[in-house]
Amino acid sequence: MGCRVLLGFLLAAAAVIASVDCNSEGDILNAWKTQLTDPNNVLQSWDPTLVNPCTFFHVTCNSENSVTRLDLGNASLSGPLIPELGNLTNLQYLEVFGNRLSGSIPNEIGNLRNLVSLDLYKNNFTGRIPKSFGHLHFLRFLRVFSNSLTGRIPPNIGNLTSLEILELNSNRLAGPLPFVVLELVRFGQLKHLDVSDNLLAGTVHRTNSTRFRVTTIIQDPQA
Amino acid sequence: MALLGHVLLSKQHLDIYIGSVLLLLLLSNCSFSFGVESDINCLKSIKASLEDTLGYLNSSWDFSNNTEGFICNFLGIECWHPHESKVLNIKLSDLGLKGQFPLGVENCTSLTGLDLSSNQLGGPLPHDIDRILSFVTSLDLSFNSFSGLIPLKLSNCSYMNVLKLDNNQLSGNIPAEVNQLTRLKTFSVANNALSGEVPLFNTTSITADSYANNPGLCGHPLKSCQNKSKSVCGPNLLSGPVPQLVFGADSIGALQVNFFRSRNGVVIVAAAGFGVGFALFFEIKLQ
Repeated sequence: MGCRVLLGFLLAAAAVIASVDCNSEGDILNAWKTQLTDPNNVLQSWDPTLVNPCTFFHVTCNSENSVTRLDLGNASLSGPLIPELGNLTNLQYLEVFGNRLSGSIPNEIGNLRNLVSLDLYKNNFTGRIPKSFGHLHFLRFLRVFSNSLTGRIPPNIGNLTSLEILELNSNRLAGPLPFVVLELVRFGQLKHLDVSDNLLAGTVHRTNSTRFRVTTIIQDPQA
Repeated sequence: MALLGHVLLSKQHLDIYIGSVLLLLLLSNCSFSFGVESDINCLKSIKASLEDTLGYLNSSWDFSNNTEGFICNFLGIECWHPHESKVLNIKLSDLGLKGQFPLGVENCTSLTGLDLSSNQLGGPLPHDIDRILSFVTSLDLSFNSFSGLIPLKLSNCSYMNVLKLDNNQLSGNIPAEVNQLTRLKTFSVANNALSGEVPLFNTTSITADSYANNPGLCGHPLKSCQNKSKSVCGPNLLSGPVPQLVFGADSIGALQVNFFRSRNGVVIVAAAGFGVGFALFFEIKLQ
């Protein structure tokens, strides 16, 4: 009787330990891999049996074996970005530019509070720019140009005081360019802003600040 | 000789003497200027030698309006003083730049920091890097595709505090003389194809993480560099596909060493181990 109780307890403990995922970041990446079409086999090294994803090609980890970079630019990948990618909490560089990724940008990307560079440019993303991008306080590079994004530019992008390069051009964004976003040139670090080739409307206020430098023209369909 | 000395030191010729020295100073070339002309040429050369795939340099580095300190507003350029074209730092990280190491940086003679990380730069690092980056305290070339050797003369860049060469395709040895960089606080060559013995550093700030993912590197704080002929990674005598074998206990030991390189080999050895284990278990159980 005692033996059976002990055995039951051990089995339960084993189940608990198994469910407390020791490899959650690897699982996230492998789950993403299953949703991607990878004609060039760039994800061949992504092996679900490995202890952590730190030996995967195109993945960089920090000293605690947590993913800090995904470098998958120009890799001919197609498929979606999955919401679980928002659980890679130490991710600083999400480089997936120049692919054929599609679907909408998950709101969960805004959970990547350590993100420094978000390069989704030259893909086929649709839908809106998530409002949650306003939480990415360390973001320096936000480049989503050359996609099919719609909707308005979320004003809380104006919260990103570290933003140096903001490129939203060549999409189907509508509505105004929020003034707070433009103010990042004066009060933030913004050095390069491109919203050209969209469906934006409204007035851009001039300032007298000598550091104000909008490098491209805002397209106004009503003009 | 004494007469000449007498003439030079006599008071009535002193003003002529001072005048001619001043004239010489005025006529002398850029070496006495505050680096303005050379710094502008430095940036022109960088722009010309790099492929600007995302167009940032093309739009921001406009050399037509050359008022005092105009380069200080360029993307990625920090100046010593806002109205003087003397470059303090060049920070061109993550700008989609392609090409080789821009040798024109040599003309930014007051440069203290160079960050070209996270681009698509390739080719070798210049062998006379000490002449190009004489006073640089921070050099970050990480996350590119630089190849070839780490320049020996890097050891002459005595002001270097931060040296990041990680995540490239550098090969060969790390020059032992790099340990002469007494101000070095951050040093990383991780994720390259380097080999050989690592330099002997005095500082505690350089750990095994500095060298991570260079399988050929050895020496403290990594594993010691043992004699190559005794290493497990030595040349195999067997070649070709792993043959199917009947598992006998006496042949297992000999097969194991040669199977490290073969994935099938690992599976076959594991199966062999299980086979032997089961056989022994039932033998013992039946007794």
